[in-house]
Amino acid sequence: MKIKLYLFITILFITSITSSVMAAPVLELWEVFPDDAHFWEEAAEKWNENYGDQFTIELRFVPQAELRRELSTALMTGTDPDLVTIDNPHFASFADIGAFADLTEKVEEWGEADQYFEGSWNSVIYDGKIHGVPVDSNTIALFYNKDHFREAGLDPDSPPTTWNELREYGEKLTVPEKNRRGFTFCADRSEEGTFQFLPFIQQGGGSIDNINTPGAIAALQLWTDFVDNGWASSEVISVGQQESFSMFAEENASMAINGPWVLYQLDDVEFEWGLTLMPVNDDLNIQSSALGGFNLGVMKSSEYQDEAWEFIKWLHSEDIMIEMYWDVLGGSRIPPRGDIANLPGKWVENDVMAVFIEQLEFAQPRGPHPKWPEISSIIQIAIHESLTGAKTPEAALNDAAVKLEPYFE
Amino acid sequence: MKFSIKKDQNNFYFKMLVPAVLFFIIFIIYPIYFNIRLSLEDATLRTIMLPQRPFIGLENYLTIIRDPLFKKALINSLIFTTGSVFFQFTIGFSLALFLFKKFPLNKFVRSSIILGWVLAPIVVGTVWSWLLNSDYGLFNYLLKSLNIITQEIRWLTNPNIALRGVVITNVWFGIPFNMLLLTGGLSSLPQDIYEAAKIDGTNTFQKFIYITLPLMRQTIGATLMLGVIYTFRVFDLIWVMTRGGPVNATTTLPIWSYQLSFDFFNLGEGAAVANILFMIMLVIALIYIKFFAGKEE
Amino acid sequence: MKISKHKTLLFTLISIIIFVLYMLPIYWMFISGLKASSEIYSIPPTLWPRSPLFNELYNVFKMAIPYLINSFIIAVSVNLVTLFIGATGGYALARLKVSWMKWILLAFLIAQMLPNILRVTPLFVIFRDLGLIDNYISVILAISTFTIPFAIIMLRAAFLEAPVELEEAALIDGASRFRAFFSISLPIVKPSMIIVSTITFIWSYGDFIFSISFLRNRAMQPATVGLYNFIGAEVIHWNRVMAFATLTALPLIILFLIFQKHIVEGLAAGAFD
Repeated sequence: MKIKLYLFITILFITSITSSVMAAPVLELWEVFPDDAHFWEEAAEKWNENYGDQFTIELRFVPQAELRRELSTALMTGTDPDLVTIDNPHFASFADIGAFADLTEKVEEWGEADQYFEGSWNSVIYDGKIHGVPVDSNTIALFYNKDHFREAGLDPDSPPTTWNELREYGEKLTVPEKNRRGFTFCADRSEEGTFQFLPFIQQGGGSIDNINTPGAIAALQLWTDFVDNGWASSEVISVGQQESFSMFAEENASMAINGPWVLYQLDDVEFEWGLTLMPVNDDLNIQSSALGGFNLGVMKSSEYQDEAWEFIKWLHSEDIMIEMYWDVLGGSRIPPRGDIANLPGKWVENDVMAVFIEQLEFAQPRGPHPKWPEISSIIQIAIHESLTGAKTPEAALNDAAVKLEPYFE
Repeated sequence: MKFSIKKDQNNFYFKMLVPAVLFFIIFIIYPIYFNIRLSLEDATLRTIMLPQRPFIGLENYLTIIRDPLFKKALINSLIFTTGSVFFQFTIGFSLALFLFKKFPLNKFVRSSIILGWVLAPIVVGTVWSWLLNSDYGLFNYLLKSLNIITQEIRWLTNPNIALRGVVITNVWFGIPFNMLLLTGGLSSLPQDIYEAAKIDGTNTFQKFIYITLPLMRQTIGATLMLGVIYTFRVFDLIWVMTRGGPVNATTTLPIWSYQLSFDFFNLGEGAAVANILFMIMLVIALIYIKFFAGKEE
Repeated sequence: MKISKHKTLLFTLISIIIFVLYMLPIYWMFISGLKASSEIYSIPPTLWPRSPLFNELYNVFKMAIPYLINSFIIAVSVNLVTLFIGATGGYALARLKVSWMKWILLAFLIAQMLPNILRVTPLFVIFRDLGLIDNYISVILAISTFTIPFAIIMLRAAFLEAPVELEEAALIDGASRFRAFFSISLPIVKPSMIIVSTITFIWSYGDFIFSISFLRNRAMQPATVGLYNFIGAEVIHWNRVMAFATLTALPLIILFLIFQKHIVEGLAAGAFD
């Protein structure tokens, strides 16, 4: 009897060991998109169904506001996941501390990196190495209300293309009796404010290490004039991009700067609207826009870096990418690859998406700089100081330039 | 007789304290120690993965104190806290007293007022930022309709008013807490004294000043003390409404600490700000101890 | 002595006014949950949704139930732990006649002072070592770190205000000290216990930071975390957030209405005529 018992236990032991060896590894992926038509849920499900025997993907949703804190705690305690999505301007801080696996060789072998939008790809490169891949790319452009244009005697088919035209239209479209402002944008005390304003700095010939060029000062002057004259609401300094766009959707603003993620707000509106490229500085004529979107990184501590890379390659293969971005997301997100985004019969067929894709060609990343959050905060303060009248645009940007110097030594 | 049983009297009470003390040491002291140590180290994103972060003594504290934002954040914290606690306490106490009377609806109204406090700060902050928005907010709309104002008030976007806007929100949010605690205190009051007072002919006001207040001394002290501590710590509400803006008009010490620790990842500096906040609260706690725990009741 | 009829009417009217004034933001939250996304920002503001989305409310309601159950599990557990340690600790501090007792009180006050967000990382380290991540125990203990000191401080005040004579009488009659505590003193402070319990319940029901950091398994997360299903990285469905928040608050109101009887029943009659 005892022998049988021992035999039973031994067999149990062996099968449990072999099964744990045979059990497919589980890769943990942290993502921040609960609402995004279940993009990651679908992707993980699809992979697990087809290739679950190799390894499975397990998701953990982390609210965007908590992600960096959670990740830093995880890094401190050695509990970081295998894959993580991070907003592109924050990617560099983690790349800087070596949190990500070096994918340079794998990417070169793969050879498809040059298909991506240049701005998007630049945000994953740090210190000469490739730390991840862009997962989606978006940018901002100028929305305008064609009905309001007609009412104000403006041609609905020629929206403003320069800053001066923007100013002119803004003034004409402001109708206080109807609670209508000419223009709305986002200048709040968060990354969103910098996101919207940086392109204007860049169009003014400036950049984060040279922020007080005359063109940039003119940009801040433009925004300040809008608020001072009531052509844009003073509340722009306290609302996010989504709330800012709601002004436009409710017809309380005739023009808005925003991105494709707010298109759903226009589903049921009754007015005719259009989308055009960001207006440029009259003299300098530099095209620039903001680069939004998330990057996917493989953590250096992961035991399954090769597997993670397999997953990424699969996700970014043409078929899957089309299926995920076009079918699952209904074309509401632009894939980070230019070749796929520009496929005939898809995104470019849609007038609205075509404008965003064209604008993406000029989109520049924020940084990359490991201390981006501090740089962003300095820019936000400068914007606020000017828009609240605490300083002139010139003083605000000059002070910001001084504060920014130490970051570029 | 009291004298001789004093020793085992105390022993019994000590035994009752054991669970609390044990719990305290592990789960409360360690985080405090952790943060003090963090504030004395060069702790940034670059150093968190190291097994041993470089020790830099009081350098973080010096950096913080020299920063022009320190004075502003400190003053904002003081204004925010005193303003909030003053109104929360007085309104809360008034409501506690008023709703203590017996009339129909008193219990219903009391339960409803709890609601404000039950909601998550992100919800309260968001709803109030909608109400206080100068364009589409209900407040300005009502004030204008009643002809009380002609020009919109920029509750949260005027740097000179913004702090008031968040204080108003925080007062609304904190009234239930004060009301609840003071109601509890009122419930425990012995009735015979009031009966005697009535026979003696004392009026309502005298009853309040000479009977209620003194009897409720401990509860009032605890409520104020806790109110101050909790209000000093407020972060979520302000963050959701203004993120410390416009410019830095509503940046209090907790907001700055969060920004330093979890936006800039200067964890050492953020911990230093939090510890300075801690020390301020410690001073207040010491004052409380002196007045409410020095004597036996 | 009963309050005169006129006074009753007056008080009722005043209480209605107070109710309306205080509830305005709550009402706003409720109707925002029924509005279409951009209607929340309409100028002028709409006092009732143009076409209330009761459908959405129902969908959100269905989604909310599992989260609400988890919230209750956490809240009830924290309450039990807190009341036990709070009552025993508060009683001890009230009756203990030693000169250094006030330093213990100070220690408990200090325990309240550290912002929760700064406790997460050190507590995470402890709980990970104890293997308590993805276990309710970690969240319960973490929340208790601030509810217990609070309970001790408040109940100490209550025990101090309660008459000691009854206790001493019981002791003279031969009751054990514990009996005196349990059968005499504890019932006297029942109103404070209920208040402390209410506040503890609300705090633990409303915990976010510990739940999000220690409970990675979605099935275990409480409603405060569930709320973030509508708060995306780029899009926030505020109407759904508000609907969810309304539903989250509902069980608490009902609970409090039920338990409120115990606080004021039979007490303080006619004290404030």
